[in-house]
Amino acid sequence: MTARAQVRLVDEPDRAGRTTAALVASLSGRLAALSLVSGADVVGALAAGVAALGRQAAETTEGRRLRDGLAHGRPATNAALLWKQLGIERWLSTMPPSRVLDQLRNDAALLLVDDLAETFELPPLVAEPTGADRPADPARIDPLDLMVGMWVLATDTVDLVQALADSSGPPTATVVPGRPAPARVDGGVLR
Amino acid sequence: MTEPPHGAGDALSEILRLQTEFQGRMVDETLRYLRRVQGMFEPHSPGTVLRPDASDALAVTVPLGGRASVVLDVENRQRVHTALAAVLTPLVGDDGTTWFVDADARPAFRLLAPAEQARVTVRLRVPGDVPPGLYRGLVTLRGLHPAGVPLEVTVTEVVA
Repeated sequence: MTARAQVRLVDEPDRAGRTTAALVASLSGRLAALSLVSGADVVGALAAGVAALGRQAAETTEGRRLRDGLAHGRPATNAALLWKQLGIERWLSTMPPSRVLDQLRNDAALLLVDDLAETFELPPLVAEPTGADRPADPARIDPLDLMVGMWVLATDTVDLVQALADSSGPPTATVVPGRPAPARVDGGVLR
Repeated sequence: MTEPPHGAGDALSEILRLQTEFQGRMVDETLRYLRRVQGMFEPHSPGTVLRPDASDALAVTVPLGGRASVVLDVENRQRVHTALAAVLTPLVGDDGTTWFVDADARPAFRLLAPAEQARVTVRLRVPGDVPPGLYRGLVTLRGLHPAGVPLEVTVTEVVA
């Protein structure tokens, strides 16, 4: 038996849509912010973002299976110990999570737009700040969520890079004919 | 439980301990507040929202051990490419049973160009040990903000 539905992928309401200018502004804003914040803050915000992604993914069947598999073995016990002893839990729970998957997908989308050069000729758009509507931070960031988030981000990265490669057209031949080697010169000077 | 202080020295050390705790907590909360403010100024990364054309749930009826398919016709209404990877949430039965569905999506992943449409087929397999009944969940896309198409799977006994 088959059931069908139609869905549309649209921009978030009350937000700048995904246009080339908005994506360039987001990327350049992130690059500009790098010089204003510490490395620890950047790593912390990224790790908190990956954990938030893992928490979201754990609501799906594949994410839940993965999380349950991790939860019943030594990785979970050791991760919890490292988390506590090294103070990672306390550090990450204060960090504002970055939207790492959106950032990855937006940056990949920029590689396929056809108006990038024109966008750079226009006055630069200032990146929209995230603002106060960011979801409330969790009180505790679980190491298992971080691991599941890493899996989602890695899977998406592999899929995205493959899709970008496929978008360029058919792959080149699997066998490339070689060129004959140049004739060897047996001279005392060149030896 | 902490012993009550006995002498002046104990009282002083207790005051110092409380003062140190207070200062530590104040530093933590100040840092937490500053980081939240810092997060508000982080450049926003525009996202994607999944919007079903109809609010009706996708409904399929499958016998134990059978298969069913759910087809999503997806249209990208954004102005840049959008990633597409269909996933399912666990299905929950009326009696509270949670069923982690064995399913696969074809294609598993693809990039959708602006205004492009694509068809994604999610095939479900019903194991023989699922209690018959109605199960509800969502078909959604990986990484998209919380939304999806409601899915209702009715598992029936195998009719001989």
